[in-house]
Amino acid sequence: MKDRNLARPLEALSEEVFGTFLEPERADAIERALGDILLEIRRLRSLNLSGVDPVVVFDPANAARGGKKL
Amino acid sequence: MTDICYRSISELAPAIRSGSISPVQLTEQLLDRIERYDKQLLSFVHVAADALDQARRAEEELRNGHWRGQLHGIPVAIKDNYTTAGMPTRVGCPQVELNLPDRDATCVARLRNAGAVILGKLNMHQFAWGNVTPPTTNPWDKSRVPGGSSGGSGAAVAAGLCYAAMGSDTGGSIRIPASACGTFGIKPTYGRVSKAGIVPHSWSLDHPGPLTRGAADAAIMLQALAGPDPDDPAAADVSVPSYSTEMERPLSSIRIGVCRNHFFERIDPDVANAVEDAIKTMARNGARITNFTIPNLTYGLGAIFVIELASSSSYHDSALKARLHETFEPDVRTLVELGKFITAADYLQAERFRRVLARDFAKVFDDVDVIAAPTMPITAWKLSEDTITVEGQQESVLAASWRLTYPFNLIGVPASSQICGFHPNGMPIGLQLAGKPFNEGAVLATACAYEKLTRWNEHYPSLAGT
Repeated sequence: MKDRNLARPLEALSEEVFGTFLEPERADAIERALGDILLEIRRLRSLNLSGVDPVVVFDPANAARGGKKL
Repeated sequence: MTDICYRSISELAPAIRSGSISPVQLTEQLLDRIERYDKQLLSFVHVAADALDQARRAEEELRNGHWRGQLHGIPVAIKDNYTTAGMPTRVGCPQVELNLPDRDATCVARLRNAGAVILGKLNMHQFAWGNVTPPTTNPWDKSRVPGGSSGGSGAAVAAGLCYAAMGSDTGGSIRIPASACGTFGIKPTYGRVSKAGIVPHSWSLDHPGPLTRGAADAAIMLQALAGPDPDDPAAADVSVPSYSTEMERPLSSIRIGVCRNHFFERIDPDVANAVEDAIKTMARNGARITNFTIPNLTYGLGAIFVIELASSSSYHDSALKARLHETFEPDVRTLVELGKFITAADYLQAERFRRVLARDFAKVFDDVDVIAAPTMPITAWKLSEDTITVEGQQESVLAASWRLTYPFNLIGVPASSQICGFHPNGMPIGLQLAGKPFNEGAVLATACAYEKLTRWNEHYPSLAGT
């Protein structure tokens, strides 16, 4: 994250955008853990998936039954 | 003759049915063994106070001519993320009040209906997030981890403290401890076994399944567990075959695929050699081998991270709001917090990618029945190790341990792990087999045939000094 020179630190973005309060020391831990994971997520984002639907699909009849099967 | 604690369920079942082995004596022996050996292994977090009563009831039924099947009177144990009637469920998190229901998860109810004696609950990595399972140790070397998150299940089965154990697998959590502890473990097809009553980790990736000492015993467990369940929206309405019949399939009828990218990259050379030997053994005995590659596997780690992190944070949302996560273990707390920063667009990119990967594998499965690979690129690591070096490259043990297992969670196909030899460090090496959706039979048949050829699963750890 730091190499992108974000104008606002993660803890400020956290509450406003992601709806979670982060103390500065937790922000450090999160940034450290995010490092390698972000590399993988960036690679995933680079994949062109035009024309591909998500694998998890909405089933309205099942949802209306509260997830219970007939 | 094999110690009775290491006998297979398929050997014990006819003896129990005929009355030559008593479920009460069997349960007493295992309770004694838990008392003796589990002080250092620490695989159990709760021993059922009514275990002997359950065994007495099983024996009484047999006297009255009622035999429920091959699990009748067989002591088994349950990972601590399955809710259970009369036993607490702590999900590896004893310090937090979770208020989970005091009723049996569908799997536990099905095991009880099949006559199994539920011995107790097994330790797990907190909330199924991680592959270490502290403080449980590995029966083969108590300075090493049992894997995770079903580490208690792997350790207890390997140590002969139960004949089978339930685990759950979101990115490898059945197969990793099976590999680390030298047991058999199978993650059935997503939806084959009900998740109802299991504390969620990641709804679309969680797979319940058994750990046993051999493929035939896993088939017996799966027969009792599999099938539709109205209480699980993801449970599939797919008929369940007779696994004992499907397991009779000979190796000469099995086509084995070997994925030469991803699964054989950055592997400990001794692990790679053992798995290559296993493939050669199966080929010598009639299996046809095909090599293939799936370049899209390079996107898999990002996809599973996104889905697991987001799902776990969503499940723990109320804990996050109440700041209960501050009492979680530091590694788990960070991962649960991290999921808040996954965007919806990335989540959906991951769910779209799963379809691509599933199609890639489906094309491979047009020409092969099972895929063979290492389960882990390494063996069980030392309790003190956070990183390992493979082929000159340093990697966290967490990243390395699930690198070869999570692809099969993304695509939901059945996948197993079994022992295929020992590393010079004395630890078991895992062979992974994966099959087409709902074709657990081909995986079990291949695994069973390999077992019969090599008998690696008949090696047991020495518990002396435990």
